[in-house]
Amino acid sequence: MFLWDLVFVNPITNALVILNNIVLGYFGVAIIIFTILMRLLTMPLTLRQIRSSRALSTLQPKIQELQKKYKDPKRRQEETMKFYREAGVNPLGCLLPMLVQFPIWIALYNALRITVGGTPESVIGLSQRLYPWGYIEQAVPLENSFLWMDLGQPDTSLILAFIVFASTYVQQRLATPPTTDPRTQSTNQMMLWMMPLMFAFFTLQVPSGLGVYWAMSNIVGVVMYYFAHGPEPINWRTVLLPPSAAPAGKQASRRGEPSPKEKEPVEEPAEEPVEADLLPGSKRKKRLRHGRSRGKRKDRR
Amino acid sequence: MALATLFVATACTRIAEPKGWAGPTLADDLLVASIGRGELAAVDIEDSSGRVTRLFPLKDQKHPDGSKIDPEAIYSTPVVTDGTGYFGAYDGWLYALYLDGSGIRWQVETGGSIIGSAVVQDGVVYIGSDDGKLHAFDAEAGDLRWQFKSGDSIWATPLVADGVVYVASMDKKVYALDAASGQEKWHFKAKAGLASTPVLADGTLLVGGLDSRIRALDAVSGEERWYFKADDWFWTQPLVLGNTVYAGSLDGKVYALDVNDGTPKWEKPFDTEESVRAAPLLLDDVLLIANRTGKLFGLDLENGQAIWGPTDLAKTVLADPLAQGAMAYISAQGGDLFTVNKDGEYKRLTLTE
Repeated sequence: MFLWDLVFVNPITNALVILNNIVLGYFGVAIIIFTILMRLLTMPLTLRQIRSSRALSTLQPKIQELQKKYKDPKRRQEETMKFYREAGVNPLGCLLPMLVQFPIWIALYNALRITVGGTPESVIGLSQRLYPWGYIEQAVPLENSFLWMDLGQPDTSLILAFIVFASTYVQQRLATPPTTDPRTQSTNQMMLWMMPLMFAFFTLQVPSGLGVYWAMSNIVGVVMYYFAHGPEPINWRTVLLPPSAAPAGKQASRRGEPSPKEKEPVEEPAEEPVEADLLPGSKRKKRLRHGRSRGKRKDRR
Repeated sequence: MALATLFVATACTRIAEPKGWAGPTLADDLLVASIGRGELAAVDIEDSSGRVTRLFPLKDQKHPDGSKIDPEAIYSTPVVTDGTGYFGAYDGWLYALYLDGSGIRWQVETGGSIIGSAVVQDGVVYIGSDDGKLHAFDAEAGDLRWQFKSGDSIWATPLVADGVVYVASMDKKVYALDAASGQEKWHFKAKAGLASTPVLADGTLLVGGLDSRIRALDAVSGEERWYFKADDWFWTQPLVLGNTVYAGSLDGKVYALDVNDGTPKWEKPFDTEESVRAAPLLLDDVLLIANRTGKLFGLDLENGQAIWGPTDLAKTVLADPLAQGAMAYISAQGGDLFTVNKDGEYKRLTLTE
C-alpha cells in the first residue's frame, strides 16, 4: 500500500494541489484540467482501444460464420484465433489499454477522496500526502465549493448525476462496436443503459468532485472518439436516440459506418488472406501485406 | 471492466465522515466527555460504578424550528461554566447544556460546521465557525453580541486575554479583536491556513500553522518575532512552561523551543513516528505526548528523552488530554476514555449509561 501511495496516489494528489494553485484556488477547475491532462496522457492507449474495438467489430460477420461452421468448441476456438492472427487483430487489444489505465483511475479516485474530503480528519490525512514544498502548503485548505456543488459532498441536486448519465450514455453509444449477433446486441443494449444509470447512481453517493471527474472524463472521451473516428461524419441524431428507436438495420451504421451486412464478406482465412478493406488502420494493412507475401511464398513452393 | 473499476473505485471512495475529537473537561467532580460520535455524557469521577449521565443528544431533542438534532460529530471540547456546558457541533450549532442531563439551555446556529472549542469569559461565549466568522454570544441567553468575518473558515479555538480576542483563521491570518466590540486591532498573515489555538506568554503570542511553522508574534502589534519550521503542519495548541514552548507537529515530532528566539532547546526533537494533533500536557514533571495512533510517551522536559513509552492505547487520539493532578484523561476517537498517570500506567474507563 505504501508503494501504491508513493508511486500513484501521492503524485496525483500533489499535482491536483499544484493545479489548484495555478487556477487561483478553484479546485473544481483544477479537477477539470487534471482530467483533461490525464486523458491526453493516456490518449495513445485510448485510441488503440478504440481502433482495436472497431477492428473487432468489422470481423464479427466472419467470426459468426466460423462459429456456425465449427461445432466442436476446441476447433472453433482454434479457427477463430487463427482468423484473428491472419487478420492481424488481437482480440485482447481493446482490453490491454484499459488494464493499463486501471491503476491511474483508481489512484485518481483516491487522490480526489483525499483532497476533497472536507472533514478535519481528511485534512490531517492530506498533510501526510503533500510534499513539503511551500508552494503546495499555501493551498491548504482547498476550496471545496464549485459552481453549485460542495466537491466533498454528493450533489443532491441531480444536475451532476444527469450530466454523468448523459455523457456516459453518449460515450458508451459511440464506443460500443456494432454487431449483428443478437446475443451481443442484447448485452450491449443492457450495458448501454446499465452503465450510465450506475454511474449516475454512484454520483449521488460519492463526493461531487468525483462526479465532475467522471463527467469531464466522458466528455473528453467523446471528443477523442470524434477525432479518432476518421473522415466519415458521426451521425449524432442516431447516437442520441435510443437504439430501439432506430431501425435494426441502422443500428450498426449509427456512426456513419456501413453495417456488417453491407460490407463485403470476409474470405475463409484457411484458404485466403483477409481482404484489406476489412482491416482499418495502416498497421493492419501492413500485417495484411505480410500475410500476402507469406501466401506467395506458399505458392512458390 | 469499466464496471469493475467503478465498483472498486466507489468501494474505496466512501465520503469521509466526520468523527470528531472533543476532549474531556472537568467541572468539580464531574467529567464531561464524548462517549461516541456526536454524543456527550457526564460521569462523576468519585463514583467507581462508571455510570454516566447522558447530556447530549437526548431522545427526541429538537432545534427551535422543530427539526431533529443531528450533531454529526463533535470536535469542540465542552467548556463548563456555572453549571452549563458550552460546545459547538459539526452541524453548525452552538449548544449550552444543563449538566444534570435535563437538556439544552439554549442553542444557536452559526453558518457552518464548528470545529474549534468555545471560550467563555465575562458572560460572553466566543466561538469560530466554518462560515468564516468569529461569533460572540451572550452566555446567559445565547443572544448575538457581535460577529467578526474573516476570509475563510475558523477552525481554531480563540484565545481571550486582557480584553483582546486572538483567533487564527484558515484565511492564513491571525486576528486580534477587541473583546467587547469585535473590532480588529491588527492581523498577521502567515503562508498557509491556521488551525491551531494560540497561546500567550509574556506579551508573545505563539501560534502554529499549516505552513509547518510555529510563530511568535508581538501580542500588541502583531509583528513577527521569530518562527520555527518543522517538516509538517502544526495543529496542536502549544504548551508554554517558563521560557520554553512545547509543540507537537503532524510530522510526528515534538519540539521544545525558546520562547524568546525560537531556538531548539533539545538536542533533537522527540520523534513519535506518527502525527501529533493532541496538545502536549504537563503531568507533574513529565511531558505527556499522545500521537494519532494512540501511543503515549512521557518525556523529560529538559532533554526531550522518553522517560517511558510508548504506551499503546491502540485507538486514534486527536483530542487534547486533560490533566487532573498527576493523572490525565484522554478521549480516543469513538468514545473510549482512558486515564494515564505520570508513570505511563493507563486504564480504560468502563462507562455505563
